[in-house]
Amino acid sequence: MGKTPAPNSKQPPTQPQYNRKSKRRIQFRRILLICLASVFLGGCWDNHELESLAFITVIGIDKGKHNNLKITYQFFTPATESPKHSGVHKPLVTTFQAPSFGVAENIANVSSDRMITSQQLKVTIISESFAKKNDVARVLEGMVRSRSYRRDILLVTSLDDASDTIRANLSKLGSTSLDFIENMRNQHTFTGFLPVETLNDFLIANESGDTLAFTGLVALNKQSSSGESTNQSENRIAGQFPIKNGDDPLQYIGAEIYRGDRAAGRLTGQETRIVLLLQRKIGTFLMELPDIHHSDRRNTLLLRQIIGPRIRAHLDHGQLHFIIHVPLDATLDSTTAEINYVQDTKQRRLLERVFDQKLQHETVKLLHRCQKEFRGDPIGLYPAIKWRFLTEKSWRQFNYTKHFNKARFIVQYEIEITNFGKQRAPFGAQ
Amino acid sequence: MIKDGHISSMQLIAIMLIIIIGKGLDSAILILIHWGHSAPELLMLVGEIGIVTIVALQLPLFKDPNKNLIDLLIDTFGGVMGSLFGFSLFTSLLLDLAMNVYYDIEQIRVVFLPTTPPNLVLFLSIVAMIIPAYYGIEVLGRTNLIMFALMMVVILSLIAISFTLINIDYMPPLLGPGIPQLLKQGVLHSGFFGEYLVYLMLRPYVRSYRSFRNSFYIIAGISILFGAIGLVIIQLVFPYPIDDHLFFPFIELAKLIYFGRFIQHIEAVYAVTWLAVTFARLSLLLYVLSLMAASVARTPHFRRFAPSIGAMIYYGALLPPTLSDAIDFKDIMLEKRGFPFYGGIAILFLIVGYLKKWRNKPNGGQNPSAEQQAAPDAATVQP
Repeated sequence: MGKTPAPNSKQPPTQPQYNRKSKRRIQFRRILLICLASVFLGGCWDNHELESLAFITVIGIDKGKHNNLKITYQFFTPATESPKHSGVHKPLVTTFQAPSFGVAENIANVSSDRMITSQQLKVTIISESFAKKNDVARVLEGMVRSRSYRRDILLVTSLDDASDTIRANLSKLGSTSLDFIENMRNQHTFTGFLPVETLNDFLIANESGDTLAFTGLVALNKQSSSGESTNQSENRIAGQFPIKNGDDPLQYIGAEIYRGDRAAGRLTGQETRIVLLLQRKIGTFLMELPDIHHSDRRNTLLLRQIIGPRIRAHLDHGQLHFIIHVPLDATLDSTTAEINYVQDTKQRRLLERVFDQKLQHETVKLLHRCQKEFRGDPIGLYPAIKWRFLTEKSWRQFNYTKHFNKARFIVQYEIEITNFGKQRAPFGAQ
Repeated sequence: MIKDGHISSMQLIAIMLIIIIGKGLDSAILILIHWGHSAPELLMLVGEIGIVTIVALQLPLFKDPNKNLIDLLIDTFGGVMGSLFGFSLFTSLLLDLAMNVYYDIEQIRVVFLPTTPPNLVLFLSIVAMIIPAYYGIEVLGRTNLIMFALMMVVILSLIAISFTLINIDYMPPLLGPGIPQLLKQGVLHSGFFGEYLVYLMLRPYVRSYRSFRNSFYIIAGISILFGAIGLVIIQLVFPYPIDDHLFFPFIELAKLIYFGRFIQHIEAVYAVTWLAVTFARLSLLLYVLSLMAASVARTPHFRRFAPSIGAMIYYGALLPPTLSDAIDFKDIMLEKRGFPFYGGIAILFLIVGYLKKWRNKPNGGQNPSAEQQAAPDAATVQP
């Protein structure tokens, strides 16, 4: 006879009880694992609260003392927090001397409790005086190496000290100083006055050796008299426009050409437009010329680039020839000539040819200036001939810059007026 | 044979495409850029078509659903030589994975965690690789199907968005360093796509030979197409030699995306997706290494190898002092010098495998082998 187990003695667990226990154990382990993973994968070492960071939005580079860089930081300050100066929100700007960008962040922290970060940096302004005497590409190399700098930072050259330029940037129309520059960047396709050249574009042009790098140009509005003598308002650079009581004391127009890492010369607003036209980077722009019949009357066209320019190149006994054809669509924006350009096709064609010839003349003049003054191609015409070279070795042996500086150009613009605005006939037409 | 469930051909395609295309998202791609100059896509085509051809020729040897690559190596070359060859392939894949882990850890350091100790990130990454490997091929197959969808959405959107950044004039010279150099370097860098060996290890998990074979051609076609498009886009955004000077072209490309003031820092989305896809890829490779180790050791318990392989990867990833050294190690040791060895094994296996297959055919050899002669007798004596 076997013994019956006592009613209060321990029963061996049945199979379902085992399963339940082991399931609970597995669940517990999984939850523990998830908790541990969330602790470790949270990246506690790199944790930064938003309140503990200071975001740099604009950097200025000037020549400092003792082989240092004079670096100016403009910090992002919310509009509600920034101090007001004559009713305008004044951003926080600080200037100091540092040997490099990396060290600059540490030095800036001497007087700032927040950790300096360049993650939101949008613009770098280099003073022209610094760019003429120093190797800009090598200075900027420090930017691309650091993890916190992006390659899409807008590069601008300032005719004045970068620190003065940054401090002067105070829009009266309510834009923060950063918004002002961003708005200028975004509206370049409507004026063609300012090239949007990023750090990436600059380094690509510089390292390729085929083209010359360039940046936009900015200067303080000094109401200089030098620009007033020129007939064409576009043939000026930043700082030469006599604007009284404008929105911002800064003027963004023109470009600075760099050769061999250093500033080599300036392009006027009109020359910048031509460069952008040939690069197919322009949207629309207004151009005005005196009327062919009455020199005191004016015609203004709104030119629109719909199709890119057709650039062909060929070698003739070692001589490089470029044939450039630029089609443009136009709208008659305003006219005081009292000629019915809508219905008089012959007059319309004449008007188109006048604008064609003016742009052709200016383009050829610019190309010759590039050959003689800059000794290189800032436009980037090289693809027209580079496609013929199949290997890098043969392209290097060709020496494009040498050929470009002796090249001949045939430039042809083809403007077609397709729109006449809201007015069918001119005022006072019979 | 190691039993670990079955996966569908779609899951197999997803797994392999994550392994091969995912490679283009880390610094390994610099090897192709460095040697292909302005024509990295042509170098990739030469190298990948070479290895695809070798693997495609090997496929008919994998009709037996119970045998993976190591099993067949042992069958073909005998226990000692087969195990030795299998171990050589295991070692090369292990070192390759260790370098891949190093690239990805460096990318994590640069993008996400600059001050976190890299050893800790490495340790956590190895743990994150081991855990999915424990769950087996069926879980990996299902998970990676989702990961694959995620990866394709990211890659396709990146391709679409990059059209605003590309400059077609950065394309020439079309032949980069020249055809002879491209052919030479392409053959030498066939080992860049050594991950195709993984495919041969996954044979037992696909039910039919036909779907196994067809999946391979789909994988090869898609990876060649996307690989070439990816390399061309990098070249058109960062023309040579700029792209050769970067460590992380994929992240730099994503960082250039700019939609105006209100939509910025899109790279964060790409970086997080890259992280998820990377861990999926690394855990798959660890799983396959465990399978290889178990196959060489002739044991079905492959899971027990995962922690020790993880430890080996950990120490292997600690060896290179810098990312540049890790890239050079992969380029020179694993591809240029190593590939003739394990590429030689693949070719030897191909030759000997076909010879044996031909001899085992009833009318293939002149004299039927002893086994073939014994087989009918054995059949007759059985009840």
